Amino acid sequence: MSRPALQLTDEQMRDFIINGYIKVKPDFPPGFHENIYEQLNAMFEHTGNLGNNVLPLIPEMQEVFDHPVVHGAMQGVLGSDYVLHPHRYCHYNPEGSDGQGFHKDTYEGDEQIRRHRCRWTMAFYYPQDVTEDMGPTAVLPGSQYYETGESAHEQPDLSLCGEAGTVTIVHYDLWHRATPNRSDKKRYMVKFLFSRLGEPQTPAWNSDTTHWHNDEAPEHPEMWESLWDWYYGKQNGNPANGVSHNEVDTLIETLDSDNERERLNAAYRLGRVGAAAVPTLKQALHGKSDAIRNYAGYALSLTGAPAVPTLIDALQATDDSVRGTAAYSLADMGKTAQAAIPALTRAVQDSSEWVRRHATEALGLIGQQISEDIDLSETVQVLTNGLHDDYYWIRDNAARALAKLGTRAESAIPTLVAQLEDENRYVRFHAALALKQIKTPEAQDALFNHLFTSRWCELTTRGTPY
Amino acid sequence: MDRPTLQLTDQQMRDFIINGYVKVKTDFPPSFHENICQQLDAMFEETGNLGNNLLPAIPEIQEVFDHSVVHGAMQGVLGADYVMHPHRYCHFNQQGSEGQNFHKDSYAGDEQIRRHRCRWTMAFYYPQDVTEDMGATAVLPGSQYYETGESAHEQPEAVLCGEAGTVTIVHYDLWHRATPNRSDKKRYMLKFLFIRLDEPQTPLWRNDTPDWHALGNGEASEHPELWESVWDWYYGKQNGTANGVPNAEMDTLIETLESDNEKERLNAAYRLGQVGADAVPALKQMLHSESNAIREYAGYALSLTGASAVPTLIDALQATDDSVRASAAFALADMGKAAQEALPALVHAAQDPSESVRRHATEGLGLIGQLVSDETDVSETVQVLATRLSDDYFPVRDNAARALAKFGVLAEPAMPALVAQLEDEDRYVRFHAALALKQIQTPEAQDALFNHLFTSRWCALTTRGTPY
Repeated sequence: MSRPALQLTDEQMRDFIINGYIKVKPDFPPGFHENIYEQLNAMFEHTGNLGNNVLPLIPEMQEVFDHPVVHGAMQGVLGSDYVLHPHRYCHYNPEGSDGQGFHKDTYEGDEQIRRHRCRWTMAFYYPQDVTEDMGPTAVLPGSQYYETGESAHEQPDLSLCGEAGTVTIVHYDLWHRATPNRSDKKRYMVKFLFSRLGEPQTPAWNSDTTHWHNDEAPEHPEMWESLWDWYYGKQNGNPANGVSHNEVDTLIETLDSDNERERLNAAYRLGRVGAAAVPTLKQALHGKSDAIRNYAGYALSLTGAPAVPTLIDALQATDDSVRGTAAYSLADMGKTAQAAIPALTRAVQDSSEWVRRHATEALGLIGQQISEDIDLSETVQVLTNGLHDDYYWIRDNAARALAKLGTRAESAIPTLVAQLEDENRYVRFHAALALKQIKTPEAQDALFNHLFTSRWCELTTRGTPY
Repeated sequence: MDRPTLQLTDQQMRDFIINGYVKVKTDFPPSFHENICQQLDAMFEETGNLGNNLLPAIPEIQEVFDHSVVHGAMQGVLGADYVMHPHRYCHFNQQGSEGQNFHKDSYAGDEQIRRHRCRWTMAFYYPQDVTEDMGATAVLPGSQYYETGESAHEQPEAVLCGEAGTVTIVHYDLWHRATPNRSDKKRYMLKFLFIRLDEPQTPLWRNDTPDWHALGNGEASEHPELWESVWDWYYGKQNGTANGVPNAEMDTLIETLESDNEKERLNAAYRLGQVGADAVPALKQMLHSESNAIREYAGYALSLTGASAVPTLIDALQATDDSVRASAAFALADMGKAAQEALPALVHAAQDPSESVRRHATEGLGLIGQLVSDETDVSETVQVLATRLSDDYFPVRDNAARALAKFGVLAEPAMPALVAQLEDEDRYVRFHAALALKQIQTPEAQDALFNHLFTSRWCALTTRGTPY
């Protein structure tokens, strides 16, 4: 059932790309949030914080995320078929707390892969008014692209105040913290995670203009534009930006700069040179520095088709981290890396868990975009094997990749059903998600069995057991 | 996905029809049940009894009911499409307890309607060995057909002992109790409820003979006609087969409906139900009687009479007395397909001022409506059932949702109302609304249901100690 959505504007999307967050306010009556607030009080009093189970316990919270302004904003940044991730947490910031230091969150159920393209978000929901002194969540706008605290802390600190019902959607890698609560009121912030299922094809917001333009903020023009283009469904590698050969050498040197911002800009500029930059970037990819390798990976990924053979070759490198970076770059490239599917299918069986993880994610990201005529049975088979990997984050990515392949993943049904009992709770969820996406009657039956068994009744409590 | 099933035999079905229970034993390793026991211990220690939420908290219990012997037995008694009801309860019988008195259970989410045809069951699962002294559940075999404790207590008590993994499936109306626990061990018994979705069409057990009499019922002779009629119902036969009871016997039988002896009354009703059209005028008088008991027996007999009693029952839906209308609606519902021509009258009765009439009519629309041919237009039926989803009386809402579930895709116009009732104030209506959406099976219904179920999905690994 398609839910009503109030879509974002071009201006809001530009802000999100630059600053990494967007604040919206659904229009529920105050009583709605008071009810949730009371239920959270009761949870802390009776059972303590139930973590991920806060949603089945207080299912009214789902309505917040189903609201047209939240749903519309989430569609804009994560695409129309985004998914509510099974990790969520009620952050209780008590009166007189000291707050937290700024940090990026870890990825629940996955490895800590930072990415510029927004495939995961968090949403911060306030069930009560939050003023500056009540320990609001604060963010460092624009810091989602920065690995280092130094770069992040150069951004001005912004406290997210707001009335009950305020929801702030953030890029998963945005630096944030709970500020000290100097008031005499407790503050709840319920954090929910969301993940992208489809790669962008067309703008999922109310877009008037196809071109990125931004005059006020000049820090990362090429990176921002590349993200805008990605959101627009444009493939990597087109058009080249006309950077001269001479500049390439300077840019490669800049990848080693002390200044993270300069490094980032150099990588994104290099990514638009085209085929001419590939030999140099290849050297950087095989170099000794992991940091430079990562930037070279971003640049090669952005280069698109001319870089694909180089990245496929690199999947055979002796150094684990070279293979890992190559797999990651191909994954991030998406459809343009289609020719790499056979190589990635082999890489999913690599001896390095990093390579396996990136290759697994890649098969989902690329595989879901290629034509129905191409036989994916081997891809589905290796992803199915990945559901038994020793590393839970590979199993998690395998299930998520199968979810992206939809009905084409049908042969994975028996294994997915078995992983509904995986020892890892997030793998369980993603196996369920894959069954939902496969959509055959057999998959749906199995999923309904699982879901009806797991169905929690919020009206049923110790006091009213039936 | 088809689950493997080990079907019941003719003999087991015969025993179930007579005695009201069937005991099966799953073959899980002992560690499977020990794990469940430990989780139950932890539940009582940490949160107290979670009632209906027992299953999402300990989802391994589902495997017991998915086991081929349990699933096969349940199919035999409740049909291929049976559904696990959302009420379940962990009965904790402590060391030194005094036990309970014999009772019939109340119907969670519904009115207390006793019925001979088995449309609800309970299953008692023991997660530990239970010996005689440990406060086993006991039943009064055959008592599912008895309203009165006097008749029930004439039956010899059967104590349900068994190893861990024993599951006893019982007719919902069977008299049962927890016996005193004289041992020094605690005893858990997990009670789960199941409901029939379809009406029987063909035997769902390993059936060799269609003939009840071929099963050697010599030793058990209390209620031959009642039992045979239940057997025939299980066989998918429609009501209305005459047994050649002479008219001369009729007056005696009618008088017997007023007997002090419940067993005799029952037998008289089932004999009268097989006289045919000739008995209808006399039964009609009884249906309009002031005695609830007589009215009810007349209802059973008219229902069993089938087509030739339908006009009389339709007329009775217009009676001024609420309880006459209610008995008529119940008799039509219980009759099933043979009452097809009563659908318009039942649509009307589903809007009756009496709660009980609405309840029975609502159930009737599902029981009969699901059996009519595809050419019959049921859109008005679906429409009125959709409006009953917002009835003031929760058993009517519960039955309306269940009736819609029986219609499958034909209930599609009720979708918006069903989605709204996922938030009904009654927890059982919520479940049955979800069930109806599942049965409707259109992509739109499934999307709406997946949204609900993913929101409600409890993670058994996520606890206070390990919140993520």
